[in-house]
Amino acid sequence: MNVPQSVRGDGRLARRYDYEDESVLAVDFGTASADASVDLVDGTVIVVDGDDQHEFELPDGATDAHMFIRNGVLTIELEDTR
Amino acid sequence: MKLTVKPLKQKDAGRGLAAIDRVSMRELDLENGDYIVIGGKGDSQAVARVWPGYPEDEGRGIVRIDGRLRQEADVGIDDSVSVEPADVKPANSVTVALPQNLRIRGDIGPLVRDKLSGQAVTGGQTVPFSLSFGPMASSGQSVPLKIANTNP
Repeated sequence: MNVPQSVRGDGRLARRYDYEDESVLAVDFGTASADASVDLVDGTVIVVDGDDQHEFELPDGATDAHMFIRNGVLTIELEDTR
Repeated sequence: MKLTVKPLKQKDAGRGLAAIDRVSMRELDLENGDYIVIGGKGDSQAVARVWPGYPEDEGRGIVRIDGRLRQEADVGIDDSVSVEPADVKPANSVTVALPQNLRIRGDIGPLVRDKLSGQAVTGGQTVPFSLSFGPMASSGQSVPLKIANTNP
């Protein structure tokens, strides 16, 4: 899963961690984005952060993922599809 | 819960994040983004947001924090710290203490308020406070700002 430059930019931190049973993508939008929200629509992750909106696709084959954003930290958990 | 301090990767530093291995996260009932209090030497405490643990740390009882948080908690690499979920509430007021030898002209209250706004702090914690602002913000020095009291 790739995070587009527009989401990585502006000093945000985006990391992917591959565990034995799942992969986790985490993006830190910072504490100023504490009220940001995240939705999944037709395989597209949509983050609404005040007036900003960011969108990116889940990887091929993944139609669902567990995701939440808390205190500016976005977490996307994908079960291992390898 | 006691965890062992390890360094955060350089590129992940400076954001107030603590990468906790997933087994310890589950035991503490924490999710990414949750606030935690890291108790170090004496009364020294640091507040951080939880970041996913590094896969290589799985089950090893590790919390990875950057140099600033280690300094706030007064701990070093491989030291043991206590990690607890933090109950963060909006504060009506925060009382701070600046170094005695600092000569200030004018009211820096609004500047301190701006700086602390949106940040989680706890009594006894010391946070670096940048003295310069505007275009000079990145070049300036910072002084230790002690959080004397919070309400609530």
